[in-house]
Amino acid sequence: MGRVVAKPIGECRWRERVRVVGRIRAMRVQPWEGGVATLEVTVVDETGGLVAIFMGRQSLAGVRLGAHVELEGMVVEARGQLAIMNPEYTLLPHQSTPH
Amino acid sequence: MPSGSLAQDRSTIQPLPPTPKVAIPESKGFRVKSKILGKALDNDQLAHERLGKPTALAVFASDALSSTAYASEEILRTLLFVGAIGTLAFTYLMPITIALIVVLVILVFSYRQTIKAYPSAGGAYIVTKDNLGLLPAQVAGVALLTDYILTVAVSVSAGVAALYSAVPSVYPYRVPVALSFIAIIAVGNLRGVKESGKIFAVPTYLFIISMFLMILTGVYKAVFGGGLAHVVPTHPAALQATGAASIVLILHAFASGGAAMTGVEAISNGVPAFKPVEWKHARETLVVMALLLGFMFLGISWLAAKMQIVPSDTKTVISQAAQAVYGSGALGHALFWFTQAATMLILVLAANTSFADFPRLASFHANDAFMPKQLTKRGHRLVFSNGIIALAIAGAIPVIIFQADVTRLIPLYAIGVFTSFTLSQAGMAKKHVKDKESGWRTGLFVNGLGAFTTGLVTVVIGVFKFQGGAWFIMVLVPVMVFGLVRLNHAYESEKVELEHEAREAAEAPILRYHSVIVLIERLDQSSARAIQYARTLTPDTLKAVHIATDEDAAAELAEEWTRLGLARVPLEVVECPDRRISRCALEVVAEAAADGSTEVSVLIPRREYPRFWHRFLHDHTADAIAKTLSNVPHANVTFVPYHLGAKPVATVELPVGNIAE
Repeated sequence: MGRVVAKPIGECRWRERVRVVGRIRAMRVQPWEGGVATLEVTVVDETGGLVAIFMGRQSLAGVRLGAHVELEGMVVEARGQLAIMNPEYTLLPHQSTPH
Repeated sequence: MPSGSLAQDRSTIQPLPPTPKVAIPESKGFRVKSKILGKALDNDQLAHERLGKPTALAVFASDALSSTAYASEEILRTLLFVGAIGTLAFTYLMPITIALIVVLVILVFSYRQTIKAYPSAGGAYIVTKDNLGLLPAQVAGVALLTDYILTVAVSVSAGVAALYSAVPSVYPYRVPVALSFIAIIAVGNLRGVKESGKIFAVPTYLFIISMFLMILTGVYKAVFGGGLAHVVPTHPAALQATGAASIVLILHAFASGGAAMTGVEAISNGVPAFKPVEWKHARETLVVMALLLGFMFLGISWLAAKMQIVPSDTKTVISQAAQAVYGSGALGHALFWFTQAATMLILVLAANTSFADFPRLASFHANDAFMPKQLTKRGHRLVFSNGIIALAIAGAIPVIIFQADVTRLIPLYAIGVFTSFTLSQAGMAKKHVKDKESGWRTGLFVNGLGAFTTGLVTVVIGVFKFQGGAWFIMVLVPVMVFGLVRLNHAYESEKVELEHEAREAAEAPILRYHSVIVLIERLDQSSARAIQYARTLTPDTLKAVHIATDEDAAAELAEEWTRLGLARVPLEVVECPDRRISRCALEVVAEAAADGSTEVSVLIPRREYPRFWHRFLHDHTADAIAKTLSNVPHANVTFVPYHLGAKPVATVELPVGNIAE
């Protein structure tokens, strides 16, 4: 399986299929229109950040503040920000990032 | 979601910046703190340092081992100065020491049980809470906390005593020196040095080496070197006294020596810090520590008895023993200095053990809502900063009151630690009966014996040190526990009230109307800013209110208001003949909210000053008004800040005489 090399988040643009690696900086839970629960997490690396939206989820095991994740999916737009809808995600081993 | 945006627009959307880019400098306080304490640590940097046995011994044993520096001395002082039994004191010193070592052995066996049963987070508080309930746990905890405070006071004072025994000119400055030791340790702990084992290892092992060297040299001289000569005392009168020894005196001396047992609990508090298998290593370290403690205690008592050392105000027993054993040659002199330095270092470090344990124990209390919640907060460097500061202050107080005099501090000491020993051992005994795990009968016997012995010692200490100062602790602990229980009730009722039907409240229908009131003193930048903000709230009604304490000024404001065409926002001028602005504002707001279906937002312009001393040039009317208005249901106060000096203004020449305000 030829995997895409992880891309700096700062270089991601709309309508690109990307794989990114970053740290979860913020989380947001809210009922989406029509009462579908949605989990949104803001993932950042040293270059930038984007939002990952998991529809129909209130929580995902291991997805918590400070966790390191790898996300893969199509970059779309949500509320004026770059976002990946229902990305494939992999939890990465814990590491402390200097910042 | 903004709809209708073109694909062209979307393709230009940039990712979020990696960290929120806000150009606000950190506050001055934070920058000073970072200078003194180092960079703020992140949560995931919480140290999970695991200690090997030799390091762990150094970290956890410094408190216990250091007490040998003064335990023999305190027994002697009781026998010589309280009992005035002359040279008979040296006959009783060894038996009393041995009796205390028997207590130590029982304690070690008891704590071996505790370590195995509570490998995660031991300590008297948890054990007592688990088995005997919350209230006894408060007693155990408070007793232990008072002892940690006294450990700081006693250890630092004893450390200073070691210093002035070698350098007599320090004696007059002992209190400031002791206080600066406490300050240094506190700052070190705020920086987070608490478990960095290497800092501990050196002084602890130096002390162990110096004591072994001194005792073994003494033994050698006694056996092969023609015996040990008696030390010439500074107070020969103490030896000529011929009082009779009584059982009361012996028990009193025993109680004084009980200080040697303090710190034995430290290992059981810190089991998680050991390398796996934690409890096994902790148990082995405990035994090694007890062997060292026992040998050193016995050795020092033996030397003191053999050489008939009389402790004096300016010379500790250890310093006299070292001087006598090593002689006055150059090498002897060097060894004497080495002993004193090692003793001083370990005593100061023993205070550090309290700085590791007190904040953690206080945080347990606070987590159970028995102490102020601030104690659960980890500070700048991930340590319980508030607990550290509290301990530093609390430890400094007895040092000042008792002028860094160990002998006057000792009567207060040890009763707390023995109370917590007793409760935690009783808790363990109950656990054995309750759980009936394999071998519970042996466990019950060991912990039962431990509880009984330590209970007995607690009573002995309480009775025989009562007059000397133990009464203070015996009054203080119940008063504190009572206070903590009251505190707990306050926290609990607060919690119950706040959580009661919180969900329903969050979904309750909103009030029908929204009314915004902007309080205005005069027409200036700060009120203009408040009006601008008020208009973004798009309320049902919006008005500016001026509380007229001065009718002329009010009339002037009203005129200016209409002249500048600010008529879109009506200005209401309210009379305030008695100049109580808060009260007038309260009446205005209460009236607006009176119908029960209006949410009132009160906007108050507030000037923010660039320099802190500017604050003192102005009264704090805005804060006072806000406080008063909070009494009205559905009245909500918002301060609209205006930062003075933030915007450059063309320099205006101030007319002299108009510099009022």
